[in-house]
Amino acid sequence: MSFINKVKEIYKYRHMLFTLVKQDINGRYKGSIFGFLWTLLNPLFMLLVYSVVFSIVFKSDIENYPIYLFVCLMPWNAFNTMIGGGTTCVSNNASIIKKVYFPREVLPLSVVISNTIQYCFSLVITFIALLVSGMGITWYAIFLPLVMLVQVVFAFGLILMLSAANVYVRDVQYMMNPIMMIWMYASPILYSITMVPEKWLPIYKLNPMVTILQGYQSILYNQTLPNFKALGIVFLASIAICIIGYMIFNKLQRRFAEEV
Amino acid sequence: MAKKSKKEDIAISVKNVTKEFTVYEDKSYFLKEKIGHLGRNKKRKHVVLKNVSCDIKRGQSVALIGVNGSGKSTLLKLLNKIIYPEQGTIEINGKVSSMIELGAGFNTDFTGRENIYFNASMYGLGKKDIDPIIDKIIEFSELGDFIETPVRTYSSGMYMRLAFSIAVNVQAEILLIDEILAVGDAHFQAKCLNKMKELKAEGKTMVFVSHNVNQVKSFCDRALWIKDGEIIMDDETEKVLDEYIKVQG
Repeated sequence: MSFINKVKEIYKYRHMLFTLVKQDINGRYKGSIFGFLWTLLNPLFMLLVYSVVFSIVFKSDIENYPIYLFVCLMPWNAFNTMIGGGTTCVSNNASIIKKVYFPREVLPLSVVISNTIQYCFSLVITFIALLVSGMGITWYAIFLPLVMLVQVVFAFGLILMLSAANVYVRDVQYMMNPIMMIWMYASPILYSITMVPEKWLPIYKLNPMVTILQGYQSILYNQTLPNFKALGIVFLASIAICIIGYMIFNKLQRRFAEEV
Repeated sequence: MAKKSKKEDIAISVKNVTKEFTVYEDKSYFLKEKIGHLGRNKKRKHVVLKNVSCDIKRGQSVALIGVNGSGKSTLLKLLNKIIYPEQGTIEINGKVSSMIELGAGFNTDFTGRENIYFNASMYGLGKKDIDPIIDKIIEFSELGDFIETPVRTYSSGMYMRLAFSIAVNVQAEILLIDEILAVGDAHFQAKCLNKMKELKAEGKTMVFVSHNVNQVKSFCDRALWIKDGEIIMDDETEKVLDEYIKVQG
């Protein structure tokens, strides 16, 4: 099926996509009293803990460290949850894949959409933190959606590959735990990129998350313009990853119902 | 022009379809096992369908008969695009609704009503399309107040009634039905059969897998007898059934 037809078909199944997104968001906190509020409460508690720990116990050289940490930790957590949920999105839906036809791309898409929505809500806490700390928010924040878009497109490309691969080899989902942990420490979240030895920088910067996270830091922490050129390159690379991911997914999905 | 109109008359066209399954003695999901199994030829190919071809005209009701494991359900899954053939092509003209398995895709934590919306969304229907017909679906299912309780509390009969009610009400042109009428009491079975006859009268195309000779006889115009992955007889229902009963006893 050509790509155009695929897009048309997914459009036809948009109701299913919306229902899956709704189920994911409503279902995640089903049976809890605070429900969707947990999306806000989790980062709030995280912020409180970091503020206490890093301003009293561990003192960092980075000015306003809790905010510095928080600005990148929120996007990283969103990325982490998105990849985690995305990797298992096909294998966890074995029951419907075996029995019903629908364009399988709906599954990774729904994970990406529902996580992006939750991510947007959790940003409220980031904004509150910035305001309370006195750093404030500048007009540069209008570029925030741009950085988020790059991040989501990048994640979507990875999810297409990972979710399809996980159907055939379940190791993928377990492999992702250590990989995401290493990846986190290979990104400027807990520390500043200025602490990375210069000779490692060319390799270090190959990690797309470095550029993306620096985008957040520029906009929210340093309050300057992000590096549009670097973000543009990462965006193009993310598009390429999406195309490759789509091709892999499309090839592997023919046997999903048999393998899952 | 003549050729074009002919093509439009065909709802399902299956050409030289071969389907194999890889049978693992011990299916491995993990890399360690996959590597361990390399060289120790633990898998073999099982050919389920061999070079099957058939055309089904619009409005025709076709029964697939044959013993267990002959490939009937595999053919139905192929028609539904759940699985893909190794060789050959399948062309479907029209919207498909399937009852391959009971309540496929029901989310058991959600209520019957919520599941109607979710299930229908898998047929490409949105809230706006379902709202006008939801009462009809609920009424047909005879679930009454149970429609507001989670599906996990349903009996298998209730499950099936809900699934069937949705599948026959989503306005599909082609219905694929795999032996699900076995569940449910005689009253509901009769009701389903009536509904299917109604749909047939409306000109829907149906492919029907059943071991129930009487159901097949009363309902289908044509039967395909599948044996060991091949269509060995394709004719009017009566003729095929007579022959089938003679051979299978």
